[in-house]
Amino acid sequence: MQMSLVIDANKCTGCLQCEMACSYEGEGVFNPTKSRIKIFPFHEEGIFVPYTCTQCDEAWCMHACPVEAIVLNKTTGAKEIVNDLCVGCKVCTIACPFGTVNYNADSGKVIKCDLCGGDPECAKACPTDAITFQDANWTGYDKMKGYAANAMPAK
Amino acid sequence: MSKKITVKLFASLMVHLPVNSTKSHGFDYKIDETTTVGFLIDDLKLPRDVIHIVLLNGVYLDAETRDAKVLTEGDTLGFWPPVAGG
Amino acid sequence: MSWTKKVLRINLTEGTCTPEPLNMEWTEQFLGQRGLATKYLTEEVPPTTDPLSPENTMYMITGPLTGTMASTAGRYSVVTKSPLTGAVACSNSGGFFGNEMKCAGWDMIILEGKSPTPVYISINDDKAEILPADEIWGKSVWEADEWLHAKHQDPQLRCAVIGVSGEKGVRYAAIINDLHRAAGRSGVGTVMGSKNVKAIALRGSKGVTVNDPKAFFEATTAAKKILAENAVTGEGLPALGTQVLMNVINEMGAQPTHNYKEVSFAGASKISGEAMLEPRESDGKPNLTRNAGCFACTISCGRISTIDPQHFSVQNRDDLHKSYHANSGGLEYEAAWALGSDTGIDDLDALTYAQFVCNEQGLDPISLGSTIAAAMEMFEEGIITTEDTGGIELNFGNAEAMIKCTELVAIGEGFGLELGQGSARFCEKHGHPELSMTVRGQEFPAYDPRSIQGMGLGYATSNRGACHLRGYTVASEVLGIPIKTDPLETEGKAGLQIAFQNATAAFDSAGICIFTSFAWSLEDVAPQLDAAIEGDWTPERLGEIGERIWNLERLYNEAAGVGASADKLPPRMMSLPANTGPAEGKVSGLDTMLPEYYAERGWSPEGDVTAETKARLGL
Repeated sequence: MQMSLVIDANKCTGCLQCEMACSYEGEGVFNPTKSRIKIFPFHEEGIFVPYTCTQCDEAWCMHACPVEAIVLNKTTGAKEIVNDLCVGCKVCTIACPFGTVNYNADSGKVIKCDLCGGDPECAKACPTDAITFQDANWTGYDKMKGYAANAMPAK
Repeated sequence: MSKKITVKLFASLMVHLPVNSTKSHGFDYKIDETTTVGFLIDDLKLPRDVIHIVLLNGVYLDAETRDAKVLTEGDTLGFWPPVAGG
Repeated sequence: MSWTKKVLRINLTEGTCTPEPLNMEWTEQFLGQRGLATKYLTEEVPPTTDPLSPENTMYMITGPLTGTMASTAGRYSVVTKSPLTGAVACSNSGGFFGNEMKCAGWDMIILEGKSPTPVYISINDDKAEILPADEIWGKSVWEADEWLHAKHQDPQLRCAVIGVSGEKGVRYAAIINDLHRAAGRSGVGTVMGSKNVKAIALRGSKGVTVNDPKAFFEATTAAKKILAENAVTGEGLPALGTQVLMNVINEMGAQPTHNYKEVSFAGASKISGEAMLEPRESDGKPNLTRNAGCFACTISCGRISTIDPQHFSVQNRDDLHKSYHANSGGLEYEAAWALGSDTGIDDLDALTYAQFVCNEQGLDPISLGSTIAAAMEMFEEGIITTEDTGGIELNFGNAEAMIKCTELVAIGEGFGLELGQGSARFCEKHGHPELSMTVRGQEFPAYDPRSIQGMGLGYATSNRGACHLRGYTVASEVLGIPIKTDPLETEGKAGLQIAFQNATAAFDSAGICIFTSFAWSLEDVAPQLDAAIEGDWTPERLGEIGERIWNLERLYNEAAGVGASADKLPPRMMSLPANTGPAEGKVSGLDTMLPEYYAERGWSPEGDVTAETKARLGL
């Protein structure tokens, strides 16, 4: 079964545990600057929104890469960067409509979410279940259940 | 003439308030000479595993002895879940 | 390991930014943050220094866990000599500034001397610059924060800023980071202002590593589980924040009211955490929008609130910053008590507005509310009149008057600058020092010492002046954490205070939030530290470090002239009995507790740290 990251912004408190988990998994250091997932605080609205790569099926980044350094992981569905091939041209960062592929100046390569090989650290680190890892075919399950509860006939 | 006390519920215990008393936290509760705190808790179906602080007229009631405490006319009995701040 | 071992020393007189190694020997004795910076202060700033002179130094410092994935590990402290108390000041803040400092590669930033002109400090990893602040001097924290983000074209910049109050010498000015997190108490913002420094804008990209990652993840994961499963840190604080205390403290008759004349407030439930959840008539929204977390915090007690758009404080006010008409950092219990209960005001929106002003202009709402309350009492007694107040009818319960005073203190003008000197100086000036509810010149927090006896001892002995965050025995006396003690009893409170004070000093030096201590003991902190840094870190060693820090602070205060002679409560606490509730008829038993406290501390009967105690602690 393929799995997807599911994000519920209403549950996010903006603590950045996910960003630290991500940077540690990717770079071996607690460093939100090197995280593939970002939390965006919308101060005046009073909400925090986690955002990361959604692993597009027809991934713009993958098609745009001139050296085929972005490949599909058939098990997880993630589009992964092959560091040995990446030349740091950044075309993928332009091609991605969502901005979720970014250049890492320290390594000279791009970085993006790779679902940690199928066991994403961000979801494990999130203390409020704002980020979960669920059946890719049923990412709407919780939301649907919430509305179903409203439709429950009175006893 | 029946005697009564005031019961007050706070924080997450407010869901157990009678419908018409959400603003003040408190409501009247009828007692007789033998009504205990333990009886009241069960009568109001208050969740024992959630109740942590019980104040009778502002005085903390020990978890071990509170159930046997007999209530008297005019008492104020407040319930809280575990809370803290600073 | 999670020390960067680097200090950035900024000499504002000379205009230099110089890196130097962190004194690692001292970290063995004092850990980081509160303890370590206090050691630097005692070595570098003579105790008799005028706090507002260039000779005072300000230390912004992280703890060893700051910037790591340990829960709540985003803390930093500001240590300096306080202009409010003349004692050691140490104010602790969350938000996202401390971790950014660590990510930029600095354990500590030292500000010494005084800049000839207004400046701000820009730090981007190794690069540190002193830059002109002419365009933001005179602006609010929120305006300056926006300007800095625009100027550096960096939305991820983290800024710690003072408001106009701090520029103007209000003695309880705070340093605000991330718009509404505060190093709040003892006037640390005033010291920053006295150095002509408006802001520190940080960006770090280096990250933080730990000594033993495997052990670190094991320890932090286990510790997070404890927080999640604890009813207070896992449910109570996220849902209602610290404001959940308002009704508890009031119902037990420990809620100081009308400048501590009374111990319960009739309007308490209207300004409580529960009230913040009630939908209001105007727009159907509750005061509270949601909870929010500081960096790495898995508790997330922070409040994000709005003011009722139809409230007089904001209605038709185009002059206000847009955040007054939107979400911003809302009320904590201390602020709601000081601005509300102590002043007799039960208007939740007026308090939220005043809280926003405190955030926008960098003020400690505890000292502000307490000072206004003292002024209100003097106004009602006819000691001061509208001639003194600039026409403000300063009666208890008058929300408009409280707001007017808050706005004036925020910009340090007229009557506001007078109130901005703090309750001790204000009451002294008007000939009634006994009406000031202060210890060492710092205003009381929200727990009545007649009704919660241990807190009276805590206020009297607190090294930074009256404070609830040095030894929060409320946890035991009211909430039953870790064990329940009788709040009206004085027996055993000396030992209880000492245990809380020592443990708190250790928590405050580690880079984590003291609220974790509702669920964690030093037994839970030690393994996290032990994995993060080199050396053997045991609970016993942390306890000893806590005691060492407490004594170091005390020795500094003794030399500054605010030692044992200042271990006293205002006469009202000692002679005016509590008017209602379980404590009715009681005064503070400080006279009984204090000698026990001195003895158990290993101090002389006069309250001085003895040579034996110094030797035992290696001081």
